[in-house]
Amino acid sequence: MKENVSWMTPTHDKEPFPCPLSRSESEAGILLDYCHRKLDAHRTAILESHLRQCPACQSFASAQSLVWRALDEYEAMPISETFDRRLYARIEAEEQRPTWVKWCDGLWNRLTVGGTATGAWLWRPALPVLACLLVAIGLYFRPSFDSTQQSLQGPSTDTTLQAEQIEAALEDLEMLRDLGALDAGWQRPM
Amino acid sequence: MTPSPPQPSPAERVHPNVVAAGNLEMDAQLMLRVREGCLSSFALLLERHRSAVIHFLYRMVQNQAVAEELAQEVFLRVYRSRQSYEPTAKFTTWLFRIATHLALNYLRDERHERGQESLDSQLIEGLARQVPDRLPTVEQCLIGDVRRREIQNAIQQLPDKQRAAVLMHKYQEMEYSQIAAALGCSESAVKSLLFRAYENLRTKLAHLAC
Repeated sequence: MKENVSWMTPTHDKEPFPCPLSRSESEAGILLDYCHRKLDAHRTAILESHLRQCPACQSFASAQSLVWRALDEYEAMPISETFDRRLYARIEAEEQRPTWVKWCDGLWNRLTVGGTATGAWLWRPALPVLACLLVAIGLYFRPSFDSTQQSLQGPSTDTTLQAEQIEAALEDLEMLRDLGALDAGWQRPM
Repeated sequence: MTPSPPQPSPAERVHPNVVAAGNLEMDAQLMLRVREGCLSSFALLLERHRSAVIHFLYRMVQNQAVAEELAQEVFLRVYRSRQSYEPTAKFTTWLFRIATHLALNYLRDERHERGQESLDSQLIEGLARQVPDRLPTVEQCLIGDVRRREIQNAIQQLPDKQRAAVLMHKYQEMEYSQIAAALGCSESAVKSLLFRAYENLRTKLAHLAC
């Protein structure tokens, strides 16, 4: 319980060891450690000298010891005899499932409980990062995608327009030629 | 040419943190053997941790059948995860993280399903299974039963995370760092959780001193 030593640092001469109950909840936990006999001899001695002067801490310690003893009375129920048999039956059923189902299960298991004692839930903070990354990639590729679309659509539209224009011009020329022929035919009797 | 030193088997390649204590080393090595396909190592792990997991879950959900069902799921997940297991920390921390995760999910779902159902009725159901046979007299039986009921009631009324922290601290004797890893929070958060949880219990169980 080395993490609980900060409160033991003397602050001033008159009160060398500030009362743990006047500190934060996490620092007051030193009293719990004392009641549960988890402190080493040195810190136990320091705390006991404080307890002799502090009625609040004395009261805390006696109440906590009572709780500790009371919790000892809360016994769990005996385990059913079929527990192992049922578990092995489930494992056997598990083994007979298709490989892809086992793989998916394994992946899900890894994501939710983790394969290591420190590794679980590590993927959770990665989710927002992944989401931001996807958005950034999307934004980065969007303009180039549009320009690609334009570059793909642009020339084909122009070509279509040009063909139409040429076709229209040829039709106009043909019409003019026809008109010219008509004009020539109409003026000849004159 | 000097011959290269023999490479350790996967079961021997344990993280230095895990080798710190003999007990941990054994669990981690057993799990690594399970990874290699040794089912008898899994049986040993089950033997070593079965009671602790079931008792923890029983105290969390206050129902023996549900506790055993959840414990089965815990060990099944351990078995499923054998291929990806890496002994980077205590095996029990990992085991109790799975157990806590399942218990908290169960409690959340159950609360959601039961909705308006009275908490008292759940207590009475649970207490029916708590009467022990070994108390010799009716009076002693009644006194013991009342005390146990009050203790069980006090524990059940704790918020889920506080309850999980107290159970791991008191009954599994886990360190703050292990409880923090199991609950997915910081050590100082665990200390605050425990302080508040025991404060609740001190208030609720103060009359037992009389």
